[in-house]
Amino acid sequence: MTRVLAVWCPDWPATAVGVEAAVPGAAVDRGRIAACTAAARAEGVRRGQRLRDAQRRCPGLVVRERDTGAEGRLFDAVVEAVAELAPRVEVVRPGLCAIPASGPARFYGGEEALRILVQDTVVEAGHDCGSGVADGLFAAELAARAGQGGVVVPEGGAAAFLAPYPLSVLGRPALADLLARLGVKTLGAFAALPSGHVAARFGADGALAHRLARGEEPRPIAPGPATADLSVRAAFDPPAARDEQVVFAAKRLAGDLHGGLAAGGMTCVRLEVGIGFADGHVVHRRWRHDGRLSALAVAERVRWQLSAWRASRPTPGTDEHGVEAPADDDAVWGGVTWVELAPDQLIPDEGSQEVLWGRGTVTDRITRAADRVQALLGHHAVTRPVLTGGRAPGEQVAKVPMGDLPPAGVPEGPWPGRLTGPAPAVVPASPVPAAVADAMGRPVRVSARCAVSAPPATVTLGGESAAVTAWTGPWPADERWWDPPRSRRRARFQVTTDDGNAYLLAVESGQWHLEASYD
Amino acid sequence: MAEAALRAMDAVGMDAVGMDAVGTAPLREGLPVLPALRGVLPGGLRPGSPVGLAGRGAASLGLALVAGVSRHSGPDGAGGWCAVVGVPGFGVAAAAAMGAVPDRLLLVDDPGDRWPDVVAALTEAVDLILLDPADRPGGPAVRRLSALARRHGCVLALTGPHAHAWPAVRLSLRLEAVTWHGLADGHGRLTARQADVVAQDHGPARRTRLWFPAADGTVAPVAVPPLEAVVPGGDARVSAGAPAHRPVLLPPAPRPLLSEGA
Repeated sequence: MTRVLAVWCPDWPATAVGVEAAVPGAAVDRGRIAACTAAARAEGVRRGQRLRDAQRRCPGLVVRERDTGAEGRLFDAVVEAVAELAPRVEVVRPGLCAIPASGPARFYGGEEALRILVQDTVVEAGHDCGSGVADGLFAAELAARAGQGGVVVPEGGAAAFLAPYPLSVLGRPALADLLARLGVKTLGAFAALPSGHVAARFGADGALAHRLARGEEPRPIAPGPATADLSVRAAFDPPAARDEQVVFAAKRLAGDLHGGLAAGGMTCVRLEVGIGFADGHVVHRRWRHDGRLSALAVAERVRWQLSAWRASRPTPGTDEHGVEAPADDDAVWGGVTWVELAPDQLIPDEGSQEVLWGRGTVTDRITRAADRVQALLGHHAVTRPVLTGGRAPGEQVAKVPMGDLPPAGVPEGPWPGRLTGPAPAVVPASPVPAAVADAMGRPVRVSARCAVSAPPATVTLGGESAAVTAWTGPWPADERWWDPPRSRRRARFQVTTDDGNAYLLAVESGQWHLEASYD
Repeated sequence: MAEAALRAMDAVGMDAVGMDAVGTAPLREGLPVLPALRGVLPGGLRPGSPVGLAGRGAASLGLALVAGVSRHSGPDGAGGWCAVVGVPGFGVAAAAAMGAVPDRLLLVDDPGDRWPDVVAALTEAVDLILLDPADRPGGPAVRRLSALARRHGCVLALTGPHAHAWPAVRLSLRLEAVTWHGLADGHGRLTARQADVVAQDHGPARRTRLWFPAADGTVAPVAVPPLEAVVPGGDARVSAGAPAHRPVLLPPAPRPLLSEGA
């Protein structure tokens, strides 16, 4: 708990617009009292009152329009005066600033001495103020407003100090109103409620208010610095010559890694496995997993990584320097000198809930097979298709690498100009060049007004021509015309050919290509 | 040693039930196919066997096999997993329209020359692999993959230019007598295709006439006998198999429960 000294200047909006504290006066914001002087308060003027009501109670009220700019400007003098005594002044809002109290208190001979000194300094600078010292800013502000010019709340005494205050000091009118109707009228009574129930009933904001009422920091302390190095490493001397040694060490390292993560209440989304070889090669690979990787699963991945590396060597017999590799299939060429496991993308461990029924879940068997393929070809080699919205057939499917989360915010339709009818059976990843000619052998053209130069008669794909039996089009598609670098203007045709095929063809700036085949 | 341990672990993960001791074909039911294809593939696909898809319509046949397994297979009837290896143009939307569940598809678009290793890793996990080998499959690779597929009951559906080089393909599927519907000379749009699906194994070829796909993307049998609409005062007939327009029966208009005056 940090000790905080708060400096509070009373009725600052009124002071800032030049109302003397001795005369009844008020700063007005949109017809309501934003702040008033002590003399006005004694006459019955309250914050939030309508100006007309305030003037009825206090006919001599000096009224000024509120000026937030002046509030900030004028408060600078107070901040400078405090900064003379202690650096690191934080302005909470015009009228309230705070400094960490523990260091200056030692320097100036105690917290009470510091409090008096700060108060005197500010008063000398020309502004009335109160100052208070307590645990945390919330308690310190109330301490600055308490008594005659503030008090010092002893360390650990914040809860007892706050207990008699009404709920309105929390600055949450809706919460205070509801709690009052439940019979909870003071911070002490609110703090006595079980925090779990408060969080369940009033949500995150209610939980925050509850922490304030209990005299605690508004947020739990952040768990450990995020930059802490949680990676674990094992070195082999002499270099490990066989898979088994490396895998066994990896299993032990995985246990250490999870221990380190669990101590911080964290888990990792991805795991990076690095393997260093005696000849200086380093193989890094990232493994992603929905849940937590067990030690056994980590060991398996290290084994796959080793076998994939071995398989990617040019020849099993000799390497490029002519050095003969061991003939044994299980041996690691050159020896492994170190293995490192590094967690990637740390997130708080919230546990995981599996889907109740079997549908839609990825079984261990599938995950293992996909991981092995990913070890061979890389993370992006194995994908799962997700149907999304789009006009062209190629835009309607997104391929998500296995282990990654499907894209969020899939655009919803409608998609005017979308192709109807059965979806094509073959959708090439990139359009295939094609040639479309009319009966005279001339290329078919489409004008800017979507007029076809002649009916298509032959389609040539990959050097093979076929006669067109029926065709339809052009269907213009003018996409992203507002974005010149990405805009596309195409005209689509469907054709059937005499060899029994049906194609979706598109012509774009005079070039024909195959978008999909119905095969 | 290590490989043996891994294999033992895998065997535990697998449903080892139905696999006899000498490692011949597992005693399992055939892999399910789409209901419309049961005419040519009675009993479904034999687990562990290769299927050849060649010629015109091979892509659609591949989609239909994937859809059948993905929809109707699986231990709990929830559907099986399929992998598609080396077919980057696999029409996921068309497969989904036939009944496939995209959630249970694994796509390996570009395995390159590592495709035997990829297939070997996938055989033990999925029920059907649609494979387009990147090069002519060699003898050792074929023997290894065939053995793995038989052991795990995984069907290899072979397509592409090297499919015919796969030995021991007993069952092959193809499309014949293809007719497209919906397109005319400069107008219309593709709506459906009719084709004979021909399954050829040891015996005589079996064939059935199907909408492949129908207008809604599904695979459906063509109504037999073909509809005949007799136009009054003439003898014009709708040609066999053409979509016939039936009179639309409108539901009766809802009657108000209480009339105003009651």
